Amino acid sequence: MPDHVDLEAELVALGRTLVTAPPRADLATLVLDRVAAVQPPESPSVRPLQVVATVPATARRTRVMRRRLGAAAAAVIVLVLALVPPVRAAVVELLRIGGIVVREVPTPPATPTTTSPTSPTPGSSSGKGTGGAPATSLTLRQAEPVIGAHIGAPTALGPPTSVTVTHDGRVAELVWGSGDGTTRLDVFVGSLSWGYLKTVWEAVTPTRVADHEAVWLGSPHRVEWVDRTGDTHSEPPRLAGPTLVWVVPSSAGEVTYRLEGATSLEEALRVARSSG
Amino acid sequence: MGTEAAIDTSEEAAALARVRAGDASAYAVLVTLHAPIAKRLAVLSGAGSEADDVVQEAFVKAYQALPRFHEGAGFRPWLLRIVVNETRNLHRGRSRRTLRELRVAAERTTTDPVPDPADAAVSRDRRAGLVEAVEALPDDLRDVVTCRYLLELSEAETAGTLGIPPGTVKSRLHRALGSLREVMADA
Repeated sequence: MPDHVDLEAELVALGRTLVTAPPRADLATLVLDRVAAVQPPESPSVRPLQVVATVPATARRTRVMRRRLGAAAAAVIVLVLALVPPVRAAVVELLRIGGIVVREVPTPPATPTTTSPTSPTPGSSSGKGTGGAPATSLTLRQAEPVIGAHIGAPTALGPPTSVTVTHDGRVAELVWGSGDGTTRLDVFVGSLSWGYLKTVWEAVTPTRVADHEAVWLGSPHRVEWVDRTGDTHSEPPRLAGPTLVWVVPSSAGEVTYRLEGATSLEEALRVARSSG
Repeated sequence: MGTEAAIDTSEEAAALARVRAGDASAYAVLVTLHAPIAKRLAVLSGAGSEADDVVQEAFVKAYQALPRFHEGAGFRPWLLRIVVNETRNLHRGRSRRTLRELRVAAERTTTDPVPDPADAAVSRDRRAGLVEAVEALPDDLRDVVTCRYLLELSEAETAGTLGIPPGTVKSRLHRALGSLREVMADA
């Protein structure tokens, strides 16, 4: 009975409109601190049913020890692509592309003359807690637990020249080459953001990468970050070149890939399809 | 659908192996992988403002119970079952607060000024009605609807999460849909 199917689809659609806050950013740290205080799981002294019965949660919950590896912070963030020139409102379907929200900017930002990458420099590490926190150099494997997701790095470009983690451990940034030939790939766990104003302009071309939804942003656009509390962090505006964005589902939520530096859609797709 | 898919199970398995070998820090990988769905389940099950505490507690208990976790069953439903139990513990002595949570969320989305095609299938009024109808379901039916549809878990994961046989998931879903259809037809 079609009604039956429709109702199931409606319930799924309903679920997707229900807004819930992401887990707290320091959850992994808090959990690690608490489990460190008790015996390891393999200890023979752990008997069934003894489980946890026990720990007056609040006492430990408040204990925050910062010493723990930074590999813990998982946060859902939303990447806002503010298209410069905004044209007309249109379909919104595309905006269900992972953590990407496209929205109109009232006035175009001051235009930098080049698209020089403004990656934060590694080293000056006092900015923790801000959206534009300094980068940390890592290997690809090290970066994965930090951002909380597997990173399917494209093989078409060979091993990345550098891998850094920015935005308080939320974004892995892979870079190949330098200067004009630079290609960069941002990878982060980003979830749908229903609350944001959503509009799409003709500058957005829908496409697909493997089986995943993708969009090609052929026009320059500005990038800003919105953190898990919904605050926008104003980084120095960066004029980004053509960009391919695609999204791969995972248990951590949708993982958004944002590839900058390919000169054409064909080239971008070739790179994207080599990721796994 | 989004929540189902290709988790990196190899990454999960590797992390589990490391934890079992005594490397507690590898547990952070499991936490980051599964915290979003765990939080969502806690909220939609009515944990309200205590959802973060529920999730944290669930991860700690899961860690301590790891020796009894059997691979193959899937870490996610196993963890989610602990989340469900923790949320139920909250409910002792007071009513579930899912309704309010859902309503808040629904209000937020309905104030979205731009119509969204994903919502097109569910008009505003109908969605509000549906929220109420789901709320009004008996707990056992609402739980399967929450897991299977709102969280988009598979039937097997729903069974694992709620600790009931897959056949029971099917029959409860059937009853829930029948009941919802009836309510919505009257609306």
